[in-house]
This record gives sequence, C-alpha cells and structure tokens, in this order.
Amino acid sequence: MNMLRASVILSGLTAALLLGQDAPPAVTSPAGAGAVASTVPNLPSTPAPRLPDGKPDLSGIWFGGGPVGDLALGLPKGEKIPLLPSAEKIMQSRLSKDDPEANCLPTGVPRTAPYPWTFATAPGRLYMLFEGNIHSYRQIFMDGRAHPADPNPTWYGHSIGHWEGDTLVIDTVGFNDKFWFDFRGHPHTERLHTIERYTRKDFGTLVNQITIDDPGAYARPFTVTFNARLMPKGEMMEYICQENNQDVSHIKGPAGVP
Amino acid sequence: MKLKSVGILLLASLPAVAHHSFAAEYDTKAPVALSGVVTKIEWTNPHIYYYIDVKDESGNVANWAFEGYPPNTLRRVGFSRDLLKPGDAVSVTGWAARDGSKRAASRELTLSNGRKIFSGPPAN
Repeated sequence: MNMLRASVILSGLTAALLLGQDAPPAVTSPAGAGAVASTVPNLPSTPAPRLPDGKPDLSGIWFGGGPVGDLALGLPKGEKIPLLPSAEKIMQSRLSKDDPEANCLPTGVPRTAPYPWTFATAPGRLYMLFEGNIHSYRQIFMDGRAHPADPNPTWYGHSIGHWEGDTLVIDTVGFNDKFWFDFRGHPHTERLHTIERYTRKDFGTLVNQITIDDPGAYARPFTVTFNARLMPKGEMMEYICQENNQDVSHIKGPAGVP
Repeated sequence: MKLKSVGILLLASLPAVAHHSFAAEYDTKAPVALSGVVTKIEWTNPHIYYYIDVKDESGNVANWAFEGYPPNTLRRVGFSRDLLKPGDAVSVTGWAARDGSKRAASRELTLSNGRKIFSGPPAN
C-alpha cells in the first residue's frame, strides 16, 4: 500500500477539512448500521484514492468498523441473530466483569475497540495495527496460501486475504473461543469462520461487511455491516491497557448493558 | 494553545471511549457533584484517574477517585497531564460507582481557574 501517496493526499486536504485549530469539526451522525465514531468530521463524498496498480488505497487512520456494544446493530433491519439455545445460555450467564476487553485482552474478530487502527503492508502480508485493546496486530497472508489444516486457536485466528474488484476480502479461521463479540457477550466457538469484506466506499468511509459462520453457536451464517470512518489528521498513539486497569474489580452485573 | 479553546466542544462530541461497559461499573442514576482538592493524578491507560479530598459538612475528609478518558483521547484534543496538579481546587460532576466505593466516572471538571472541560464521557 502506498503510504507516501496517502499521506500526500491527506496533508493536501488537511487544511480544509479537519480538526482545524480554529474551529471544531462537524460531528457526524452514525452512517449506516453499527458503531461509528462521532469524533471525526464529515468528509466530502469524494472517491476513495487509488494506488498506482489501481487498487483502492486503504491506508489512513480508521475508527470503528465492527461491533462495540451490540453485534445486532450491524444486522439488516428486521433480522435477528440466529443464536442457538446453547449459545443463548452462555450469553445469559456472562458477567460484565468477565468481558475479555474489560480485562485488557484482545477484541478478536469482528469486534472493534473504540480506538484508532490502520493497515500496514509488507510483501505478501497485510497487517492491521490496533491502538487499543489491545495494542496489537492482525496478520493477513496475501500470498495465496491456504489456511493450515490445524491452526492453533488464537484471538485473531489465521487470516488469508485477496481482492475481489475493489473489495478486500479477509477469510479467517482458527479462532479460540475466548473473546466476546460485544459488551452484550455474544459468544462463539472454535468453529468460528469469518469473512470480512472491506470496501472504501468514499474518501472517509470504509465499509466492513462481515459474514459470521459458526455452527457451534449460530443456527446459520449471518452478515453484519459496520462502517469505519477515516480520521484524516489522526495518528496512532501508544495505548497499554494493562498499565492501570482498575475497572474490573468495580464492574457489577450481567453482560448486556452498554 | 488554540486547540484547548475548542477542547470542550470536541470532547462533547466524543463517544463513550471505554474498554468496558460504562453502566456495569457506574450508576447512571446516581449523579455526583463534588468539590475538593486534587491529591493525585494518574495519567495512565486505560483511563486517567484523579483523586480529590472532599470535605463534608462535619469537616470529615474523604478521598474520591474520578475516572476519565484515556490519555490519548485527551491528548487528541490538546490536553496533557499538566491539566491538573496536586493542590488544585476543582469541582467535578459525574456518576458514582455501583459498588458503593468512593469512585466515580468524571464528566465535567471545573478547574481552579474556572475553566470547564469534559474529562470523561457522558453516561450512556
């Protein structure tokens, strides 16, 4: 990904667009389903920038793009999450204090933490770098390899990616069953398989359409959509959650409250 | 710093930036408004904390902990750890901890110079 080009584009727009020193940015209203940062200004619906090879340029600092409080917010209107009874039972038994994210553990996929993140590339690799919860990364193999037959169960799983037109498709298996999809505690099993489809709809919006397939917890595959918003003048900063996490010992009650 | 002059407006628009459920830790039906003297500041992740000694009508002093935004969130709108110093007289509004301890989520912080800022997110 051409970071230099992206930074030139961004700096060219910075003065006009955002987080100006003299005026607060306009506040966006949530665009589409799901959690969207209200911290970022409205950006013009100019087309997504492209790399010299014609692919959309996904570089930049993003905010959101996955569930935070409630996975169901990403569903099409009228749909319900097809929880199996066993998964519903797990969800109802969960306590808010046990949410891995509250304990400074990773969000897994597709949950996002309310902190900025960005893509970074190396030959045959794509990385997602997260500022918050936790200050970690996902590795996506873009070299055409397949998933291993027996991946170690991990928080972010084993990811392989490819382009379908203007959409980056990330296919992930090999998850552990430890992370929650949201504050409400939507569960999953190690059979979870996610397909994320990232499309930079316009300059400021990255749409993430996620298909969740987990026959251990859900009756059928279902798809949720969340938008990430660009923070055009944003920068990644250090965030070490474990530094002084006093919250857990004071959190009360069942999962489910926002 | 010009950014600081718009800080309150920017912070007013920030989402509840937290790595945990707000309402599971703080009682959104138990607003607090306390005044006192800053004793300690922890400019740390995942949240800042500042502690103030609050004197009641009988003269008894209790030390309250106020949770705020992460340092990065405050930095992005121009606030650094020199925002508060031990000895500063401040007033804070927010919501009390559900477990009854002397802790609260901070919202509006009135500094010793009278300036008001949002040091933490709104209750959801």
